[in-house]
Amino acid sequence: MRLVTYLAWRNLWRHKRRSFITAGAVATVTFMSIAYFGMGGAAENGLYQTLTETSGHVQVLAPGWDQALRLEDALIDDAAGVRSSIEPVAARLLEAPLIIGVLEVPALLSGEDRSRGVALHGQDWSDTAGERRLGGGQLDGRLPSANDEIVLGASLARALDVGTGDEVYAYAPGGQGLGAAAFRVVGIADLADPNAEIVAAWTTLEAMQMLAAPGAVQRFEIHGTRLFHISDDTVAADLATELDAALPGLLALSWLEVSPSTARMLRTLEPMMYAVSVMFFVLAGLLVLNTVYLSVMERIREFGVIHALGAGDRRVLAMIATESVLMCLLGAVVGGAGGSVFVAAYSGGLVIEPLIEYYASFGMKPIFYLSVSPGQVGFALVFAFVTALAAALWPAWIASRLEPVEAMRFQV
Amino acid sequence: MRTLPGPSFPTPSRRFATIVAIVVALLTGSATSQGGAEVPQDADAILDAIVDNLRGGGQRATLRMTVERAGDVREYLLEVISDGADRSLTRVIEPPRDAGQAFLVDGNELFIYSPRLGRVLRLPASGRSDGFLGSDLSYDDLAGDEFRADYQATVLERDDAAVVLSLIPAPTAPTPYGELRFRASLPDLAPQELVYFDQRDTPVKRLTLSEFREVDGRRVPTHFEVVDLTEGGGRTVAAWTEVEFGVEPPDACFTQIALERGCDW
Amino acid sequence: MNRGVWATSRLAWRSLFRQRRRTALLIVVVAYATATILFFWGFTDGFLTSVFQGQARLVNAPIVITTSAYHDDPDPVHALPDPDAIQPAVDGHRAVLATAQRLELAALLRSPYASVGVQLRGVEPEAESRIGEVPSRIGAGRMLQAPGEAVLGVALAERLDVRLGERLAIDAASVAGAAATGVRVVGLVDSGVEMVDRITAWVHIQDARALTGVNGATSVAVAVAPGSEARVAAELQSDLQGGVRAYPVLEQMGTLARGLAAERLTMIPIGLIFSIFAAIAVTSSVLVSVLERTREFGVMLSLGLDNRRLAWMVTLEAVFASILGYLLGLVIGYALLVWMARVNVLGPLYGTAWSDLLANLAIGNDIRTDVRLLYMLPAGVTVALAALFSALTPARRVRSLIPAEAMRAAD
Repeated sequence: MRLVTYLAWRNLWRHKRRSFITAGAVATVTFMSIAYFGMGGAAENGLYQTLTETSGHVQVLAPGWDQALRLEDALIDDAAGVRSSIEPVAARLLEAPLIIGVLEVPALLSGEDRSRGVALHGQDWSDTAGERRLGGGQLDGRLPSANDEIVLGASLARALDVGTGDEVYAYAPGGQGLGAAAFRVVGIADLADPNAEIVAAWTTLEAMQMLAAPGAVQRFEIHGTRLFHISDDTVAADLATELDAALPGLLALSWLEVSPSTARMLRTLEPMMYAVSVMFFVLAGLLVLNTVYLSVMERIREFGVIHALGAGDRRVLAMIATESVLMCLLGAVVGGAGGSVFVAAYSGGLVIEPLIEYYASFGMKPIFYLSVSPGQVGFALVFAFVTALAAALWPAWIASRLEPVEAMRFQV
Repeated sequence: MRTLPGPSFPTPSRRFATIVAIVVALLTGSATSQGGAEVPQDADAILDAIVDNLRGGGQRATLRMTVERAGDVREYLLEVISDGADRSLTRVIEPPRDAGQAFLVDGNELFIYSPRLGRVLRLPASGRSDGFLGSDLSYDDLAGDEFRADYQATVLERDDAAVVLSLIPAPTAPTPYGELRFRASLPDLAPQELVYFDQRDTPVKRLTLSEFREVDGRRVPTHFEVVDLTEGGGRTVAAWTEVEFGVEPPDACFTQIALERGCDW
Repeated sequence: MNRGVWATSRLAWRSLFRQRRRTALLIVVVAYATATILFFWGFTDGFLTSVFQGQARLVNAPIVITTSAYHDDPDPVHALPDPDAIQPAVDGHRAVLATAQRLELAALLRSPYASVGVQLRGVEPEAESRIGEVPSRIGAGRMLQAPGEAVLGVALAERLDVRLGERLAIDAASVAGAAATGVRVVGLVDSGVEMVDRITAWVHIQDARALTGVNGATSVAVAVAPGSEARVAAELQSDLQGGVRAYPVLEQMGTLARGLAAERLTMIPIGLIFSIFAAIAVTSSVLVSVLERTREFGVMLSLGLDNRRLAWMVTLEAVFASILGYLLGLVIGYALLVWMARVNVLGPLYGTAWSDLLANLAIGNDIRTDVRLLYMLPAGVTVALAALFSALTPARRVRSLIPAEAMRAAD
């Protein structure tokens, strides 16, 4: 065996170009396959980020939150206390968590002479929080920073016939708060969803608490601002479980539990990726075959010569097999390593400059967070290796069916 | 795509809406007869007489309202002035947190004054229906004029002391109930109890009327209790105290100025 | 020089045909790369469009004609000025399959146990059945036929706790002030699509008119063949004036539009990788074919052909083969796309594995590809770059060949 291996190794080096080409083909296919899976992962991660942008990754809610007919029925009363319980747990499990308390009060909002029923949305604002709430929309003006400031959806502002700088009045009687308040419009929001825009009225959390429910919130949204990979989402589930235990009497739900239909959105990628994968790996197979084709012809002739010189069948076959295995293995390993390094390097985000403007017009950023699963790496390696091996051993099989003389003269 | 507004459906609080609903409903509509006539046999005529007894006509009163829901009790004290037709002015006296708020109903229009805002707000057409979501009572429940139009009346039981009418709503009546049973005492036909049944023969709401006052020969109740008979349901009690019937408030009482400053009369 | 270029081109062309197998292989690779890139984009676009269209069609209509004020603010106060005049004009358009008037308003549905605010839709029952699929997805009962009847989504009915055959009260307050009526629930929609089952609340348009005091419609719904919405909407637009606009399904989608855009964008990196890989495949094919023929080149050089001309020949060979492959790929690719756009081939293919997903996305088992000339661009760019790069490198190599060595080249 050692002799065979040694001979095989020498043979590889003797036919440098041929070896490099084959190994190179295998390496390229492996690398590209892993890069492809990485990009597929990036697509999934991108979708994941979009879906969790406005709702956060975990929500803390009062029981009966989805059945409540009135504001009072599902409030978290000691907001400050609950927040202080959430903060350490979130800080421990998430990197740079953003905890947003939200109180939405149904109210009558009036301009000078027109009024509408809206759900006044109160939360704490920061640049990040604002970006996430806008979800790709545009803000003309600024976010509310004082308790008498309000941002309105563009179509709502039109319906109320008010603009930036005008006053609006909110009336929400019967709650525990003041029941009425006046605001000044400091920003107009252009949202992608017209249904959201016509009821969008954003103020500070404190303003809403004063209006209807002092010290209370309806929910806490916990956003993991560094959660870019869906594979990391398990931490959201863990956080939900821990918070659920830490906050008796309240519910902690992951984003999927809050809105199960978003899971379906995520799965829409599956059928597409499957079709593309089939196309990709057929192309990969073609590439390998095409590249290896070159050596097929010569090898058949070679085998003819070696046979004619008297080398036994099994020896020859063993040597060829070993040679092929070495070549393909080398290629697969190099390609696999390269691919993995590529994905690892860009798992923190790959930016494709020329696409920035195009993406921005949709309110998105072209940052791709690559990720692969070990299974995918394994598949890529095995696929490339097996395909190349088959392609390399194929000449031996053909040669074995020919008379040596015929083999020596073989022309494809 | 319109999504269901869900829990945060844009509307003023329902408790307040209930108050306004009851007040508005009970105080509107004018009497059709003087009462004291012979007890009719016909179900429709009986119904008319009962409903008449709900009509107070023009009045000024203090109304104490208690709303109980899921162990939570709220008490309100209101001052009401009505012309007995379709205008009324209501002011909140207690609790202090809500004191000073006032409602003006003028036909189909509803105006709200909030001392905190220092402004009068007009409830828009699209807001009005939301406003009257009373799970205990709603505007239509007590709009007696529609009883005759929307229901078919038959006498269910009758003895010397009381009569019970069964009211079956017409197919397009704007009510979700399957049957109403209206009990009145005899011979004055004063309404005693109204039970609302769903469409599965289960009672879901009961309105009990008591503390009757004589007004123009009619027996007008001044104590209303509504019990929600469904699971987890609450109770609303409305009691008229210090009530003056048969008065004619001036037009000036039903203006937006009166809303802000009150009506001195 | 001209004669030289022409001669070299002819040489290159003839050489292609002489090496049939090798040329065939190269053409196949380029054709495959082209066809799959076309298919990638056509399939991605088509699938996503099917997903979102399906939902939008179930909830709205392929084309909806409203005032632009209504589009921003769906209130009956912005109703269409003259729907009875608009409808026949639209009906006359050859691509329009059916039209129906709708009157939508915010209303409160009341049962003895609960009240729920909804966007109530007044429909013309017969006309509406020709517009969308909701009437065919009624699980229990039947479609409404007359005033006084209502159809609800099954989830909405559950929320109200109202059963088939029971009466509901409807409160509304619109242009004409407060109004109320009672309706009997005659049908429950059970489509499997969560949104549809949650928000569908239909009554007869006469009831809606009585409730609002608006004697017309807030929108005219238009049915057209799938995929033609944008085009027909644009054509209809030319006949509409006065702030009235025709909105194709994609413009009605609100939140879904962002989802669609997001998913399209997420497929771009995959498309890029695919194109790069295809380019590599083409490049390697050309490279390999050049390397194979080193000895042949040696012979040609020694027979008097100069290096530069040989290099040109090689380059041109690669270019011609790529062009042939590209054209073949376009034919195959577009044929495939057109076929899968006209005939629902993909639906049954995906139906078994992803049936529940598809049902919930409201595309059922109807998935079609998009066909756009635009797709030629990524395919063309890929092939062009690959062919160019691959043509240059061997050309350089060929230029530096020494005939004697080349003839003896061993691999």
